Amino acid sequence: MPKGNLLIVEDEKVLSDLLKDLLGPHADSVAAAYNGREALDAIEAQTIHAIVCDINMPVMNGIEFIAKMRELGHKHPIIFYTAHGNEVLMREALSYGAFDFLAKPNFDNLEGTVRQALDLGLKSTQPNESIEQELENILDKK
Amino acid sequence: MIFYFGNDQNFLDRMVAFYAGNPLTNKVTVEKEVFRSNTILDKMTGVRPYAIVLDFTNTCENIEELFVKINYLKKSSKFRGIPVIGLFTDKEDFEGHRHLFALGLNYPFIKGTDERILFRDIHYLSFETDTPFAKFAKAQFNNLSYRAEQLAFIYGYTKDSVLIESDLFQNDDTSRILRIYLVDKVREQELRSKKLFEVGVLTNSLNRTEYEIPFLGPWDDPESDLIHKDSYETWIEEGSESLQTKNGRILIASENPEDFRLAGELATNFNFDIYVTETFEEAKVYLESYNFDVIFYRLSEQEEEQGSECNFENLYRLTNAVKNSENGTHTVFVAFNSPSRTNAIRKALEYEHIVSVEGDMTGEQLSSYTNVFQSKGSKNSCSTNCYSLGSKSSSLGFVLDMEISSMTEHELTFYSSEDIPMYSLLDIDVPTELQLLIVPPIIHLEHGSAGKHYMGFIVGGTETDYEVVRSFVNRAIIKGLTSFTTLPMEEEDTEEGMPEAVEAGATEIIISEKNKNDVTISENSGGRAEVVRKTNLNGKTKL
Repeated sequence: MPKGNLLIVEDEKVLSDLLKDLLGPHADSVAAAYNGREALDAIEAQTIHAIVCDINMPVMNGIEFIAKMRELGHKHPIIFYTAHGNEVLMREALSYGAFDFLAKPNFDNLEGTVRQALDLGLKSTQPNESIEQELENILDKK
Repeated sequence: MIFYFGNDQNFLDRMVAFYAGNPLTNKVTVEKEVFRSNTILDKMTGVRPYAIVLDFTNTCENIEELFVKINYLKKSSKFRGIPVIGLFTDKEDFEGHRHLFALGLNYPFIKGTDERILFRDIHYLSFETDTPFAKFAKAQFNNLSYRAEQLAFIYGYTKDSVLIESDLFQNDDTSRILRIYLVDKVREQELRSKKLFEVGVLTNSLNRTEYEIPFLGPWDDPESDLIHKDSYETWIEEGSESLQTKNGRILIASENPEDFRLAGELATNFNFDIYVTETFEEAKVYLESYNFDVIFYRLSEQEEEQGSECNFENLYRLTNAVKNSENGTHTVFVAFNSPSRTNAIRKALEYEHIVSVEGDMTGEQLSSYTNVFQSKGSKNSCSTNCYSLGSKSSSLGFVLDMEISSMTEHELTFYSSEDIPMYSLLDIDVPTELQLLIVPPIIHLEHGSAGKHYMGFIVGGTETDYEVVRSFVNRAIIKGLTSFTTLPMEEEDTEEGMPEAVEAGATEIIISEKNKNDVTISENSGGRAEVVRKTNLNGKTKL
């Protein structure tokens, strides 16, 4: 079963390497880019199924990157891995289609979320979730 | 284009011929469709008509449902302001449909009366200009006192109050005399307003006001018309088939007019109070006034986003407004057209009770999701705690003092200290029972010390009613009037002693009250008094 190819977009090399090690077992391959511009080149050059992306980066930040890639017609699921304090940019990212937001520097849920994003990227379709079930869950919790 | 829904080809032919026969109106086209709800809604969604004429004389449709749907569609800015005219067989037929004025009908017309007046009025309601009005004999009065009733509607009853929707401007903590249905009959009572809901949050009228019900106190005369609190509570609790409480509230926020139609479908299929809005400001007003079980929020697609209000930033503001409201996070949001997934939205907006839907809003989805709220409703619902009465008993009257300044067989002008919005409907009973549709004046009217100067078209009469009005006006011109009342016909007032009413197209004749023996000939000036159009936040007028 193919696991899919992952792209990590993170300007801090230490963190990028750490993420590569951590997420490597969950993907067929893990590529790294250090800003949005490099990430655009990467998705043009190779087959990528999901992206883990920082928001604050030099040259081209995460929001500019997602805006540009959507403009170019790329539909990859993007998980934003970002520090607290980027709420306004997070809301801006929503209109371009964000898969999830995970809080730096924690790694909680990161592997599971990346697996879901890669699955989605491989199928190229949204899973057929039951909205009714989600609504029932909310109402049951209230 | 005017849409005529009905099956009276002769009537349609006469309407077409009328508009074609005058250079001022010959650009108006009329399209006929046989009366079917879906056809009407399809037509309206496709093309915005100037006016809609519904011929009730040959239909067996569920009119009430149709009106609910038309009205929801009319809340969209694309369709706002379209006048809806109802044609009835006779007065009884009209009375049987009176509650439809709470649901969006604007102008009643009884077949068999002069259709040319109707056609001109439709033109005026549609364009407010260039209408070739006929000039009728006019009686002018020296401000004769009169009490009309402003048509209003009972939205529902709570344990100790009644919620009334009307177009009359209201204030907090003031008393008004109302003729209202309470427990078992219509009573004329003075009620004190308790809470005024912001203009703009309403379903059909310009405002909704909560009035305290004056219960019989220990020192009140037991023979008075006041009711016992116990008997009122029993009436509410035991209720009857006509007293229904809503399961909860739903708000649909969308800029797509088609979704307003879906709201109408939802309102007729589910026992929820359904609200719609296309602006962020209005949505905020709704949230300040009410708690909602669910808000269906249609995000604008990227190509629509220029100037669009339905975006994530406003969704964030709305979720914040809910978080900061008294009941916290009860409201569930369903965001349609969302490119982002549920988890991402929950985290970015810091709001847990939100679900993302990738596709656009559809009727099936809204029904299916509403079903979830209906089935889980008992413990989670934002119950309205409000019992609605069967619509046929829900109309009531606000007593409205005025001073009559002139009358023709088609128009009545009067002064009033009240702010009366354009296109409100009043009931009058002099010289016979008729309705008065308040319109922007077709002649110049100066405001006076007695208040603002209004004009209304006299509508809803039979041919016999208009004969009575014509005769009343003629008698007022010849003999004068000292009070605006219907007096018994005197011997000398028979047709032989009366001048004929001036026919359409003739010069207007004006005889003033103080100088009633002198006949002044004057041209209809065509000038217009300043129109004070009262609107809600969205610019909605009564129409």
